Amino acid sequence: MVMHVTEEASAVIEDLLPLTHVVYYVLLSLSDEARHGYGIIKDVADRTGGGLELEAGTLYAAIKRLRGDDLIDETVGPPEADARRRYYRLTPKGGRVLRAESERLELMVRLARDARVLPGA
Amino acid sequence: MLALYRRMLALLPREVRAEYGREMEEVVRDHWEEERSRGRPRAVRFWGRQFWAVIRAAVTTRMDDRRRRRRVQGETRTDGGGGMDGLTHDLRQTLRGLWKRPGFAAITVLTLGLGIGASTAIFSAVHAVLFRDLPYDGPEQIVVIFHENTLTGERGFGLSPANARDIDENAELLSAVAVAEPWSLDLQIDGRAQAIRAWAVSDGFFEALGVEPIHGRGFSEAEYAGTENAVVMVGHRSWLNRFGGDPGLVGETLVFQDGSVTVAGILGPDFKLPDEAELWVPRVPRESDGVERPADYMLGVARLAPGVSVEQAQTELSRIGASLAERYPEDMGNTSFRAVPLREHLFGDVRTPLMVLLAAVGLVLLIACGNVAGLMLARGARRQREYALKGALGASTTRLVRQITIESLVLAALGCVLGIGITYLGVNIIGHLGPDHLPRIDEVAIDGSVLLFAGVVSAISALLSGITPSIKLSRPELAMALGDGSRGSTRGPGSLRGRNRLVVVEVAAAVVLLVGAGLLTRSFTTLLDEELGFDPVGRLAVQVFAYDGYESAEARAAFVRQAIENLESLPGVSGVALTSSVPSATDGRLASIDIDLRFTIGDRVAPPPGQEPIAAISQVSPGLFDVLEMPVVEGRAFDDGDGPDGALVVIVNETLARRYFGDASPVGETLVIGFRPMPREVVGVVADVRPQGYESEARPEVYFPMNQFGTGSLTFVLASDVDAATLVAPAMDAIWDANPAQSIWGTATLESLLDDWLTERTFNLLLMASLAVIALVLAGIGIYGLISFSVEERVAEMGIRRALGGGAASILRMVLVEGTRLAAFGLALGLVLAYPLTRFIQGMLHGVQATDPVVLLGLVLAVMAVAGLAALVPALRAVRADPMTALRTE
Repeated sequence: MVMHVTEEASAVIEDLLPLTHVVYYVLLSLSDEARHGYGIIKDVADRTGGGLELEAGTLYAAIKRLRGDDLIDETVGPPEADARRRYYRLTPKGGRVLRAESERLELMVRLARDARVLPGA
Repeated sequence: MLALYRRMLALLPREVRAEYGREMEEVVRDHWEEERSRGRPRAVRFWGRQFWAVIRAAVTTRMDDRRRRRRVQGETRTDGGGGMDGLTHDLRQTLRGLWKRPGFAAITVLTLGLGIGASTAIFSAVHAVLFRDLPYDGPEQIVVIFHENTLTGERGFGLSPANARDIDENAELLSAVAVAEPWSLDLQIDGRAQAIRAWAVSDGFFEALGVEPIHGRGFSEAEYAGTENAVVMVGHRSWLNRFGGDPGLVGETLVFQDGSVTVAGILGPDFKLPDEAELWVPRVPRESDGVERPADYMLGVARLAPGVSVEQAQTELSRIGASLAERYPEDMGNTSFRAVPLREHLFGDVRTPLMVLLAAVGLVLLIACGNVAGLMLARGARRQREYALKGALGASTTRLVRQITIESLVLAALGCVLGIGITYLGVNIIGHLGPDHLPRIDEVAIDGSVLLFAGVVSAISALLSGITPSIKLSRPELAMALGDGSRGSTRGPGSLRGRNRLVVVEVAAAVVLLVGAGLLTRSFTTLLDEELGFDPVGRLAVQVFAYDGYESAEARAAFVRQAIENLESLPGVSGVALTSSVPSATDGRLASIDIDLRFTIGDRVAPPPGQEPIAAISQVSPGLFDVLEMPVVEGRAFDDGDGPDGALVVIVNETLARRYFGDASPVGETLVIGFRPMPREVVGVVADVRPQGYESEARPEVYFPMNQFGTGSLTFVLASDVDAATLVAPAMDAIWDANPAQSIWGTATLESLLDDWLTERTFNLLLMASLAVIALVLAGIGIYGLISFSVEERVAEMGIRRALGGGAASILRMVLVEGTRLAAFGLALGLVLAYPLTRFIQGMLHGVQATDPVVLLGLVLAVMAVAGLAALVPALRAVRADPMTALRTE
């Protein structure tokens, strides 16, 4: 899929990079489905093999920021969801930012390979 | 815990709390329940992280808001350029970086704070007491003159008026010479005589000190000669407290029991010589002055003529002393004079301890700086790859340096803030703990210049050690650093070996301090274990001067008998006795009455006049040895038979017996002694007492029965089985009941007299010990930092060891050995350095060798324990490291 973004929008996205690792993982966690707060924590922990256990304070500081930057928004949960919980999902802009950051990271890893900092090439 | 968490959410901005607060609580609850359901909840860790995250969120959400507002206002970020924008950017980045590694920031700031705070607080105290200008005109020109024994080199207690006059007449290098003696004026209050402490000063006293009254005038020559009406100078404190601070007091007449006096002037607030005096009166020359030429209980002061040094004045004084010795061989045969600068006289005995403290402060600051340097170097080394990468991506060296400079300065600033807090606390504590009589302890305040000094030194050390690794990274080396970093090792200034040395030096400095503190403490406890020679517990001393106001010696004796009778009838009092001089009296609350007399031994050939042995004398009532529990080791104590009509007798102490009779018994021998020397038989030997507290050595003493050698210097000593302080008021009443017109000079429990000395000692020790402990803690932090870093560096090595089947125990041992080995090097170096340094505190040590095994053993144990502890934390972390993760980082 090729994404067409205007130059202006691209500048806005560039401005948001690099992401902090917390923000990156939250976006990553919401990339496949909408989740509630604790769901994000568990998902991030799973994805990182227990390497990153977010605290509630860290998570919601990130959520507030992501919502402020319009990268995620609130949504209705799946039918079986607990009605008390709020669910969050990625916005299209959020998806673009996640992708841009992943590309940036990929570039860096490639550079590191070229420089033989990392094995393989 | 959840309730506490809810409370902590109050830290968040209001709208954030409203929006997410409830949700956060739920999330934390779910998380905690799951943690528990897994069956291995680590509560402290979990809640600690949650709380910390809230604090961070409280800050980051606010920072976010600000960033967003700015962006809305259309501000553009010039990421990376120079100028202020770049600076704020760097600052923000620095703060964010530190924020992410609270451990590094906390340890650095704590180290800096402790170092700056402790050194500034203690330096402030030392400075206030020692270095500030004395409140006198040209203080360096003021000297105090003492008699000096030319045979032993011992310094006497003061100067006699006759000698002061002769010096004044003969000295060309001294512009004013005067003496001052303790005096009292009695006020009738409620029908009872109250002694107002005064100071009788001879002509030239105020000139010597360069002091003029702030109101009124000085004394005239006629007033000093006693040919005019009596006048008085009022001290500032009394002027405010007793007379309401009215300048109209000048010229008023004050009515004392001894007569009325006119107020000539009022002295300024800074004049406190001596501290406890309220009034100053002219000392009129007396006929007895000529006879009492050797008397040396008066303070002698003099002012050096302009441009004259103390050494020059001393030469002149020695010459005058020699000529007086020729003229008065009997009185002055082996006496000369010694000039001591006023500052040394006032602060003499606090100077060495305070200088030692100051040196200790310097060492602590040094350790703190070393620690910061070590931490910054370690961090720099760890970030070499980051720097290298940034460099490769185009960041200029200046820019890297700037970023690191900012980081160092931010850390130094935070450290300074903490340091100021600690200083403030420390100064308050010192002010409260400090002994009241330590000169100017009440004037201790934070010393701004010192704070600045400590702050600047720390900032510079942080800066230098922060920048060095980045400067090293000049471009040609970049590639190398990148390659180098990839193998997880470090070279250059941040190398492990360099930092090892730093830590070894830190430990060594701490060891030097510990040796000092340990020896001083040992010496102190050793002193306390020594016998005082008397029992101070439950003893109260009440001092009166009964020279005037009695028609005859019989009238005074009747007063004394009545007073003793009244005192004995007080509840709780088990014994009452009288002495002319009570041991441990200082000039503060009780006047110390030191009278030395020459003596000869009956049947021996007398030494040439002026060369006779000297003993301190006191006149005592028969019960004194019982009341103070001074054991009579030979012969007998005094009894009621030793009256005016009985045979003349004396009792000597053990030191005199040993020094002049050797193994033979002095009992039955005759001493020729007295103001008018007469043969007196030695009837007993009493055990030694320490005359001025634990530190003083016993000297030859001769005791006279009070009824055979009268005096008006009377100190009643009460023995009781109650708290002696509760007896003060009843005892004063008992004496006034015997004679309401008899003023009371002072009262003190004997324990409290020793306490003065104890508090000062304990205070110095406490400062020294806290410095040593701080030093040890800082050195521990240094070890901790170093080992943590080296463990982190070698996490791969650990992983391989584990993967190859190395047990946890072997890794633990390896790391612990690394830490304790450094400590052992530091210990050895410190001991080698400390040994020659101990001679600086030799004078403060009593009965303790510099190689005291208890101190050394304790020290070794303490250092190794701290080192072990400091290495244990990273060692455990190394053991817990997952071999796979460890390997993956390779």
